[in-house]
Amino acid sequence: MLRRRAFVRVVRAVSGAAILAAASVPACRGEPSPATVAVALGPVRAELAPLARTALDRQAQAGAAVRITIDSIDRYGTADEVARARWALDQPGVAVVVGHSNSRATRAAAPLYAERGVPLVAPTSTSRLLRDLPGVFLLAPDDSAEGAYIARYAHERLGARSALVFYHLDEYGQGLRTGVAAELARRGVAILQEVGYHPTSPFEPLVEAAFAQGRPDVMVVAGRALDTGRLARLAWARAPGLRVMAGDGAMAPARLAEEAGAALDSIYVAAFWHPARDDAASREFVERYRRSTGREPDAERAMGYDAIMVAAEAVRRAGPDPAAVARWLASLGRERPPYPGVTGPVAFGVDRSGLLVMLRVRGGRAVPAADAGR
Amino acid sequence: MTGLPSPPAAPRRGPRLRSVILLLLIIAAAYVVVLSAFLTVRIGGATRVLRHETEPVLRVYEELSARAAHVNALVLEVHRALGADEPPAALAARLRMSVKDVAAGLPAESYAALPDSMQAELGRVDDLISVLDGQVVVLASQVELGRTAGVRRSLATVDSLNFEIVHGIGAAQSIGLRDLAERERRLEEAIRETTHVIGWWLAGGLLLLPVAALFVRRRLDAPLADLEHGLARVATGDLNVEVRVRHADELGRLAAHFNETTRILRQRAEEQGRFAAAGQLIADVAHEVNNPLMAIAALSAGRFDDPALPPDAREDWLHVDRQARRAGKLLSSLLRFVRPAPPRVGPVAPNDVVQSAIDLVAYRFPVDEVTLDVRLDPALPPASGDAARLEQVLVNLLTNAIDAMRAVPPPRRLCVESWAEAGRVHVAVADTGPGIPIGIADRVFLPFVTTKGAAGTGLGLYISRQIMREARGDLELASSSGRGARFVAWLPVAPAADGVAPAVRPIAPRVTPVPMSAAPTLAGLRIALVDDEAAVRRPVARFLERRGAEVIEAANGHEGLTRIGPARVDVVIADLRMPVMGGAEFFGRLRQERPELDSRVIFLSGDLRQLEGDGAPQVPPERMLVKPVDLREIERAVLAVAGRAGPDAARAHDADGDGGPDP
Repeated sequence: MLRRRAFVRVVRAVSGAAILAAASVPACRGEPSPATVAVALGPVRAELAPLARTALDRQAQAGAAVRITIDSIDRYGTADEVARARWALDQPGVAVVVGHSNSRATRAAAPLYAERGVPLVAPTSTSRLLRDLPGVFLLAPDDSAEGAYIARYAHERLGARSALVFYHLDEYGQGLRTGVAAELARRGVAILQEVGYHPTSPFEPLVEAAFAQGRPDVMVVAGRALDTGRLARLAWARAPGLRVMAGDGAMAPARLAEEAGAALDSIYVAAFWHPARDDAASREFVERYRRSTGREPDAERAMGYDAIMVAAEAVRRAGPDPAAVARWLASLGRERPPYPGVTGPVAFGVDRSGLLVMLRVRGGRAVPAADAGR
Repeated sequence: MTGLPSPPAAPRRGPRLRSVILLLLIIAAAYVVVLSAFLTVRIGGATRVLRHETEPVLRVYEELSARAAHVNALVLEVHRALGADEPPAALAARLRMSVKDVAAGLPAESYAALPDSMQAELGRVDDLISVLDGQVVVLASQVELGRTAGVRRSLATVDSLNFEIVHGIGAAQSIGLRDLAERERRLEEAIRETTHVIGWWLAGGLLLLPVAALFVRRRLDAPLADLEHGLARVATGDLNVEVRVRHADELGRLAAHFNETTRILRQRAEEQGRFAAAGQLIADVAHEVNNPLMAIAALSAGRFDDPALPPDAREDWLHVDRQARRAGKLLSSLLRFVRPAPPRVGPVAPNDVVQSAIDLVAYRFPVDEVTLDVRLDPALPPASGDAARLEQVLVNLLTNAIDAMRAVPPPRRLCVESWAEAGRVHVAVADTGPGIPIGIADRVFLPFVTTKGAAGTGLGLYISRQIMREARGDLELASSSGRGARFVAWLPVAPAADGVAPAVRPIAPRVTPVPMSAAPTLAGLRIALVDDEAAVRRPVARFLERRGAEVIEAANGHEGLTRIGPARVDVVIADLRMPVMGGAEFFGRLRQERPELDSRVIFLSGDLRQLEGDGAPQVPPERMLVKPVDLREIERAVLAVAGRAGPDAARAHDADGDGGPDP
């Protein structure tokens, strides 16, 4: 009898443990935690995240709960972007990541997201090398499309027959320069010289040697705002009135003004969006951004905002499963209509070069070149 | 009600052996799974890390080496070009072209797989390479512009950057190598730890092995060996074996059931032994009683055959003759029943078999006040089966029915029906007894199930069903409503080409004894009559002599051979069971000495079974007469054997006979 009781006890204990183990699976899960959108955007993150949270709260639509977290890493080297990606993947319930600040950063981080199967929405990365990476959703047209747009504008609108091309010796600069050069060549516009540079290089000999080749109709700078401003000022010293064209990387009116001096009026900058756009979504975004920061938003902010909002919408619609979120994002513009963003209808894997607009700086603000006059 | 003895108390229920075995299997599986999982996690993880994370480090290492070599080559090219008298424009173009080959830094995708410290160093090197590229472009511009001082400054900057880049690449390579060494060390540590753990794990397993072996030996092997040994002894017929009940688990209970089964089988075997002895006794008694019955029948036939006998006396002798034949027929049937022949499947006349079975139990009808209602289909086709065995089944059913009806007051009615339907011949036996109790009805054909309590063996219906199924038929309980039982036996209809065999072995003649004519039908025949019973031999001899035959009498086979000798003999009539030399041996010797008499021998015995079996002489049925037999039947047989009458006259079975029991 004693042995039987002992056996029954053992069986009960094992059964109880099994039942507890089975029951603990859902118990350990507890209440479903909200799915997370991790924002790893660099400098603009702190401005955009609160704005996106407010927008989400205001919409108060049905669907999965969404939480938006932002990183706190203030360094922006390639290795830092890897650290930023690791931070994003460590967020509890991360379903999608919005980042990174540029193409090289996105390239560095993409393998980590791919390994974990978490989709990445990149708002301003334009490198063609990112185009075919699985799980990477590019909001901006790639650098060849942007370069082609700049070259087309130079040829058609500015009547350029010759050009000088300065480019930053990084991925962005080289990508944009490739696109520009290809389109200019296709249109028969002469390229007097392609000059690579590093921001720390002395620009004077570069400009002097380049202009020794002749006076171009336009000068294209594939670089950031400070470099564009400096090069424009140096170019004007040799060729007053020369029109300088740049890509979205130079879209920072204050910095352009800081370096360009009198050449500021001659600078054309291609952008994905501008705050003067006359549509309800843009007006509302500009208004809200101003109220929140006291400043005017630029294309980088608008693209970042759209990226956060479309990622949050994907989570809300598809749930916390990263694979489902990726499928939902991929279906935009295919099985379902594009997401209505501030910068326009958002869909991935389609040509978004229609977003591009040429801007000039007037009164410290970027305005469409068509509205800027001479 | 079942009549089964109560089984002894079942062994106390203990832990289920199946559960314990399952638990052991789970433990064994867990043992293997834990070991495998540990190996997978500890070694597999370290190996995976080494393989997956080493590849990018090596790739970057190679990339760095190539990049360092390229930068060095670029700087050397700058120095060499500046020392040569190359045109500035061409030199500048070549320098710018070199920059294109170096620019853009390391592939960004490689970073994620690198150690953090290596990432930082590579990031710095990347920046330096980019700066150097820019400086080379500046240098190219200075060359183009012919600014010697600017060229020197740029060249110094390039040299300085080159030194830093080479140093940085070297540092990154060192970090990579240190990282590889660290991973290798971790793998070695994992292998060492795993070896240690596996050793302890296997040692633990080895310690558990004897425990498991002991368990299997005690709880499985030994009880199974006991059972196997017990079953082997039962297979040899030893029912006295008893298996040790070792534990209170399934095998223990199995051993207890085995012991109980052998106990019941022992009881049944003892009962069967008693029944077999009783059967043998009945057979012997039947033979012994048949001879006086034959004497009585022969003497009475001799008397009422006398034409001078007054009618009253003739009637008395006829009554004596009828009762003697009735007793003889009953004994013949008993003899046939208790000593069944080997199965002989063939076409049988079911109605004859039914009648034969009824004859066998008919003596009970008046005693038990049973009214018999027989409804036999006269157009019944022959069935395929064994007549003797079918008779056994029917006798069992009839006996059961009569026994059952004793429990109810008269009137008691026993109904026997036969009919053909759907290629089957059916025989139903229905009674007006209490019926089969509901609790037993579904088990009534199982062995040792009986409604007769201690008086029944519980084997009758079980054996009856087996017999019917062996003949490709069946036995079914058609109704047990509480107002009686109705059993239906069926056999397949025999193929049309087969002839119908007699219902059973030759039985006593069913002739109505009437005065015989005094015509000397056997005149001129010389008949040898060999029978040890003078009370039989003498009246038969006198009858044959009255019919004109010359009779040679002998008291046993030896005397018969002696008296026959070489003399002319037309017919030989011989008993089978005789002293000195029995009928079978006599027949064998006679066939050797007088082969011409082989077909002239008629056997007359109370037990013809001696003519069955291997080595027994083959004798046609019409030459085998079972005592008591009507004298005219003997006469017919003699005439047939002597070739003086047609086959109809010599046939043992007279279709006009009454055949049934006397009322």
